[in-house]
Amino acid sequence: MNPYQLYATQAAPRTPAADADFMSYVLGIPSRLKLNRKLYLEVLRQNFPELTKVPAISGGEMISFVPAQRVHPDGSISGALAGLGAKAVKRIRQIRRVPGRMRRWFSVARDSSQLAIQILQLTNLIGRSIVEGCCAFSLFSTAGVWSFYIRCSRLFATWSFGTCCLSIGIPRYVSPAASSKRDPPSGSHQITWSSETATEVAAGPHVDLGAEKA
Amino acid sequence: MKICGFVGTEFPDRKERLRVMVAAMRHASDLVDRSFCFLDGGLASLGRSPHAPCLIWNGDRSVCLALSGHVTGPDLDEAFVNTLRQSPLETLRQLDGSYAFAMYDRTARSLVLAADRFGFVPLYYCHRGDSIVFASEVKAILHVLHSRKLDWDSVADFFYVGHMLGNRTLFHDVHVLDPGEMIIHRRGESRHERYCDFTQIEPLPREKVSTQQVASLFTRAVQKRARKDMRHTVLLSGGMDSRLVLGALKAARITPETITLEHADEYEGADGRLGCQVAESLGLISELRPTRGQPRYLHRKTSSSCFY
Repeated sequence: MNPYQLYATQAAPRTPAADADFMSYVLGIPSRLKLNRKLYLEVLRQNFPELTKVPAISGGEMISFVPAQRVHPDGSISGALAGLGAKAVKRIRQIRRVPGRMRRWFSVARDSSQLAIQILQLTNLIGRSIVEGCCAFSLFSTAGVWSFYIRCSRLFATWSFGTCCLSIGIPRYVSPAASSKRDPPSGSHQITWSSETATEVAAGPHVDLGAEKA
Repeated sequence: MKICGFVGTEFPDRKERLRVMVAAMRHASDLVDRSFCFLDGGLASLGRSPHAPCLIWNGDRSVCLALSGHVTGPDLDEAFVNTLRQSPLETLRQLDGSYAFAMYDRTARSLVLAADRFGFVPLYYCHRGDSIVFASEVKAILHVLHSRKLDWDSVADFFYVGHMLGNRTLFHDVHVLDPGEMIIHRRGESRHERYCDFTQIEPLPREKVSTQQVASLFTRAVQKRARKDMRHTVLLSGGMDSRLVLGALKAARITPETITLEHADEYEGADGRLGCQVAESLGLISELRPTRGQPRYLHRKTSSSCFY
């Protein structure tokens, strides 16, 4: 949007970034330091912390200003996968103890939000490791997260954890139709951005798509 | 406050052409005929502003500068016109802001057209033989051209990348000044020069990059543009750009009002909601406006204010 064309006759448009000193400095900053809005996030975090209380939306992605929490204490991908698998196995064993038709009420679908969050966290972890390894591939993009998530959900479906695993219901949880029925996100909550819509996460771990390793 | 537009031509029947061009640009209802200024050199300025100068003369009124937009740095007075006349390239390198201008020297019969280094304020021109027609809106030029052929390559660019590439417009033979470009038109010949090119900036070493410096430069840029005698309105979204402007205004001890557009059909209205939450968290007066049904609202709300 060019305010000089849209509002020229109504107001005095100001575009502060169109400043010679500012632009000369910012354009000289190497792009690797600006990758994935790193510079932007750091400027806001360090100099305008009061503006980081509310998540931002940029380029169709939700961005949280809170530093990411690790999925697994050791922070490794294998550790995170192991933790995820262990949790699924534990849950399936619990469900198997529920008799007959009652079992479906205790399916893993009720925990699908936590699983979806963990998959996204894992995605973030892998993406971060790739970016840190200087590979020109970003899993931070919505498309990347979505395709990775699809792969993960297929992986879950093919694992022989019995019929309960098929009822995890992750695709239903993050589908736009399902998430549109949910309440709108509020400022006090963490917000994670899925492929097409914002999904509110009431508490606990969240995904920081813009985290930079110091 | 009005941001002035201007038109100009060097055609022999320029007075009649100027009337046609000015009439084409008369879209604001409160602009009246007496606010148009016809000059011998073939310049017409549209609108009159109490704050921003739009027409500046030198002492003997042989040189006239018509300026549109906002300039920070030197005072726009007679001395500035003289300096610009003597060394346009060096003067433009020191000029900051978002502007476009045309300067006509009646004695030397030379015309200087320039756009700011960012290309924010558009200035369109068209060469016809030895003459040149220019205006701050392309429709003024189209009204005096006999042919209005579309530039199909530009049309294709527009639908493919969302805007036109280079200095082309949607219309054949009508061009827009590039960012940081200057045209000197004298005795039927035009010379294009570039006084600023951001692509030539050397990359900074990592140790010299500081977020504090970025914030400080940005805050200073906001301070330079803020006017204490005017209200300040920020078009606040849920993104980071307008949020940074808000932070810089706060650092400059300016309390703005905010307007947030709802955009309910995009991302379930998250953009508008987050914008409102930011304003509320800072205790600012904010309004969430639907993006359908009230198209005149912005007109009323933003009048006589600095609009970020």
